[in-house]
Amino acid sequence: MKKIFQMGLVALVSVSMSETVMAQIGAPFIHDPATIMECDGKYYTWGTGGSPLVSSDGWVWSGEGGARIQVGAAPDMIKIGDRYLCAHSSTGGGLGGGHAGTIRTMWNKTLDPQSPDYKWTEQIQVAESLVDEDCDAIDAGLIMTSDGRLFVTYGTYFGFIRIVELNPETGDRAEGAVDVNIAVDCEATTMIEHDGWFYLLGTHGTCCDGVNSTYNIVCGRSKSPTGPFIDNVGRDMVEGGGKMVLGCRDGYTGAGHFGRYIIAPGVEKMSFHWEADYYQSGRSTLAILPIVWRNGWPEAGYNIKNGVYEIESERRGYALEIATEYVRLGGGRGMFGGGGNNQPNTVVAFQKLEDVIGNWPTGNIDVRVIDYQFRPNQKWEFVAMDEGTLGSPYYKIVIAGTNRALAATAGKELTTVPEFTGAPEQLWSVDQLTDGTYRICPKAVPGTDEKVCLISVGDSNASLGTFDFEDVNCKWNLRQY
Amino acid sequence: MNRNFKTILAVGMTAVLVACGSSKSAAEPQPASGSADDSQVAGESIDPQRVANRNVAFDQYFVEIKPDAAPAKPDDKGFIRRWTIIEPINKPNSGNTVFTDSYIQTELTKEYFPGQFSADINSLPKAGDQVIVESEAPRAGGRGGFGGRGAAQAAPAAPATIKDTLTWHSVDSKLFNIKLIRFATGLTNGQKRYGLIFNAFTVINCEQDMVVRLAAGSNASSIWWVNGEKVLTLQADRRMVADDGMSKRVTLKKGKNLVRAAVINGPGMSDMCMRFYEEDGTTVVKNITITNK
Repeated sequence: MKKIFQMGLVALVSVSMSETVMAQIGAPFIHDPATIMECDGKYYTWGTGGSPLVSSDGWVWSGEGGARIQVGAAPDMIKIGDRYLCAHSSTGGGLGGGHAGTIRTMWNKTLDPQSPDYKWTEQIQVAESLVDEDCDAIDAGLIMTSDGRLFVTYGTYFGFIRIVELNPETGDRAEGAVDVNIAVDCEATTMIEHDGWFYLLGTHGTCCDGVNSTYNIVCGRSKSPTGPFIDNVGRDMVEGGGKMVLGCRDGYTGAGHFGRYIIAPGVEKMSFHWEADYYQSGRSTLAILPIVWRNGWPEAGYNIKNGVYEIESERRGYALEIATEYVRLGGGRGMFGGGGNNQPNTVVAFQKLEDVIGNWPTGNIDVRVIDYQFRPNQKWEFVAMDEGTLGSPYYKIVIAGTNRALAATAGKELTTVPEFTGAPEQLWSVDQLTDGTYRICPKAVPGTDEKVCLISVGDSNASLGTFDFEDVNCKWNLRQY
Repeated sequence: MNRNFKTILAVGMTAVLVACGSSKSAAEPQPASGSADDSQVAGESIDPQRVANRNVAFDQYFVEIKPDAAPAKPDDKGFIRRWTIIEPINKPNSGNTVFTDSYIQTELTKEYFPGQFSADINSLPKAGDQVIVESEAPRAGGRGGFGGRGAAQAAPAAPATIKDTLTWHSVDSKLFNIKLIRFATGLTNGQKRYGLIFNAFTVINCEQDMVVRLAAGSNASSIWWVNGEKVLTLQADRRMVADDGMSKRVTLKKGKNLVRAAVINGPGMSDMCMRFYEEDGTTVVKNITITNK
């Protein structure tokens, strides 16, 4: 199913929400997106050639409201203090050509082109490669380490990936800085820090071949920003090593150009482009997915697809349900040999919605948390909406087969309303956390601007409260059977 | 391994950037795209490591050895660094996406000269031996990025052929991998760079029969043989990754064993690496020696 919606006067093809929620909607067409930056309530990124994408919510993206910046290939961006530093590159090469590249940096106080402060500083060249050298100085990636050191990684499919330290005050090379080879034959490298490790992320595979592209994001890790970066089987990235972070998913090929955005501790997103989005003419599109850390390695998580789920508390393992009369089922109880072992097996009928809905109250119904028995009052249907947060749509969450919707109430409590209306308190962001569980937050809570999420209170009840990644009560699992 | 859109677009942006950006003193002015100027290395007032990084001469990557050189051992990680390689055969391709299974099987098993795929270990060529090879001519026009013959241009309707006199070289690689592109550029003054087929062999000496797996990586596609048996194919456009592919169990017999490799690449980096593992696929084999005969 595809749908058409309007953004301004332009009709734009959207991704079918029933099929996927893996690429952004709007007009998210880009190649080599820079790490996403937030500025004055909007999100920005730029691709090769400097074309911008802007979003007011992080889910719907277009070029409107952005300004092209004068860059060559694959810019990257980082915020340092109250300024934004852009690193970008140019090359005199191309396929079969030379490899004389340059990495340049420039600053701006704002990313909003309407701001009177919007002005890029003079560019500074910080690295370069010769026309024939085992390196092509393009594809800059910036990292500010936890101890305040700024580095840029650069290089591409032709030879070594290098890193050099920059001065975080000026964006120029740090005094005495030396370029170090840290990987080979990657593209779009960047580095992130996690749990005492530095992770070098790069892109392998074939770029720019549409639906046949095999671009994939890989990583290795090191205790030092200058390596060696070793993958999960002990290979140095200088030997071509790299553990897959993301490659391809049905309908989307060629993940490349990783960027990380930390929303909150435990809530991390990775921006990248799909080389080809089958649902958008095979074009290259911006995508944002959760980062999940598993056994010390990052991997792309999942935005949940539309469908019916159990909402299981991480606290106890019980399931969220609407508080309706428990209706017993017949059958079973053969655990002691009753009924005779020689009788043929039969299928016990599942409890159906129509078996019980007639006895449910017609007004608001509270929720609670209890043993999951795949009963109709425990099955929640998630349906993605056309708005969202950074990298994730808002969902309506209704009892499957009904329009009864989960809703936040004044006083930061929960209920279900008999009809979904699209009110903000009925819209929920669902972010996969770095440990693979999910955070479920209402878009709004009546009477307060406080940002809260679905929490367990005790084993058997739920409420709304402040998110804390270290608090098991704030985490939920979404199960499909 | 390659990409195209990004760099091609970037080419167009370069002129703008050169005009708008300030150039730091950290580097000498870059030559315009399309020129080759190795003299850039000399005279740069940058740190020695950066200068060293930029030296792509043959002897930065290889040491030529004589036929009677003492046997070598695998390096600390088991990589086989001693190879005898013939100067590359022209096989122009404008991209690397043509490297399908059937293409690789056809082009990398095509015999260009007698004995190319012989398993006879007693008739191996030695360094300095030459053969005359007829191959597709590099395509006219070229991209000219290095002043070369432009092997990467679009195909004409009927490719012309040329005859090359190609020489065998026995080398020890200074790196764990064999930088084939530098083997080519270093021996031809940059005239051969892209659109090439490389053929190489090495001799593995064992003190006893050993059941092993051949592990290899190549940029781009490759085929590997042990004692005449094809044991591994790495198809498609790919980067060199150590242990990218690993063969089924193969027996290295006591004495001499012949390993052959053929690698093809269009435009872009070209290299290969190889080592043996025990049959568990995790324990590197080091108790072997390596010769060129």
